[in-house]
Amino acid sequence: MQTRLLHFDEPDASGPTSNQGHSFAQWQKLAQNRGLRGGASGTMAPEPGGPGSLAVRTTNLLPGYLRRNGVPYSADVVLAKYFDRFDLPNGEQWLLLSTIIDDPEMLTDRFVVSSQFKREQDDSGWNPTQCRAL
Amino acid sequence: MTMVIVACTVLCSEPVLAQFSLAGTWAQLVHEDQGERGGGPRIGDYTGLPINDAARLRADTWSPDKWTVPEHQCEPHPIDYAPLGPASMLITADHDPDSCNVIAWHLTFSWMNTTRTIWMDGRERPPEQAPRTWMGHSVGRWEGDILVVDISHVKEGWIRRNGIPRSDLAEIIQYWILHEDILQLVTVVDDPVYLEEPSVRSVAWQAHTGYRMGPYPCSARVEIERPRGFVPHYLPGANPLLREFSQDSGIPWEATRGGRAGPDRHLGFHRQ
Repeated sequence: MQTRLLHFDEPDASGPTSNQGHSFAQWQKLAQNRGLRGGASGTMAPEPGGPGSLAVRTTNLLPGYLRRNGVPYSADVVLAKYFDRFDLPNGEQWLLLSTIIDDPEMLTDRFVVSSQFKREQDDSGWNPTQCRAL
Repeated sequence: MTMVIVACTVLCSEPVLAQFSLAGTWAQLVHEDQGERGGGPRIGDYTGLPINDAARLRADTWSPDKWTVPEHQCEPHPIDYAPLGPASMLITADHDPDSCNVIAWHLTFSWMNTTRTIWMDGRERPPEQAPRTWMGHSVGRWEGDILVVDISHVKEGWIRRNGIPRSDLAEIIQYWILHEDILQLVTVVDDPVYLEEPSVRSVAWQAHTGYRMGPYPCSARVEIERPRGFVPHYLPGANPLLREFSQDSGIPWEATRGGRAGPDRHLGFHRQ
């Protein structure tokens, strides 16, 4: 079992690299504008209210793998992850996790993958166990 | 007059509250779901799909010879599968000339140049008796930064290109989400005929201003001479290809059969 910490107040990484790296999180909503770009104030502000995304930028990672067949990423990798919640008509709550991976050392373009998670009603199915090498 | 035209052009090019613009050209990213791309999935691979016994029977008796008979050669992918196939996109918008609001998005997929429309004017669904089509009828609405699209009036299609069916009674919802220049689409299929629970999948595109969609002409022809009335199929229990995927991948046969997600279906088999 691994635990990952999202920092909302520490944008910069410090300390040694690790498998979980340093993650800086922000709530984001799309900037909105209706008029000449920038508007009178010269800014594009998000529309208040309504849902947004949790955007997480992760750096300070140890070299790892993009795929479990040896395709690597380097210590220079930057992970952009976005968590978006959507609700189904049957009441189920889901998360879309979008991952955009940028690694100029190992990739010629960004690598993009996504996963979906359904919210469980309780934690009765959560039973992590320690890994023991044999 | 020139100033008015310029102002209208600029105003109409900007999204209104809690929206983003889908208009443009989008390159399909195929960094995952390789089994659905190119040559398609293996026969008998039902992993990850919450299908029931009726769907299993249909797929077990399905034959890829289907694609070789003239009546099926030029079929497009149905609306819920189209994003998984070759599906770079050209998207245009219709605007209301007075309000500048988007009335409709028109999405053309590279495979067969199929075009679908997402109506954004709040219109009602067609009557129940209205024709059902490959692309169905789509009505969109914004929920915050997410474009939610309700799809109805689809004809029977497929959830996986190896015979897993999707019925014409399915309700489909799509969620369009933009991050940076990456457009994500989540498709949720709720099918009372063939699924034990909704199927949820996501795919991605990248904004690509240099992309120019090519034509996709398709004309059906007889590729193999067959008796008149030939219907590609296997009889139940007679498909010799069903177990190949399990044998080649090492995934236990029971785990290749799909079904509702849960500890017994997934974690248990992974541990094996």
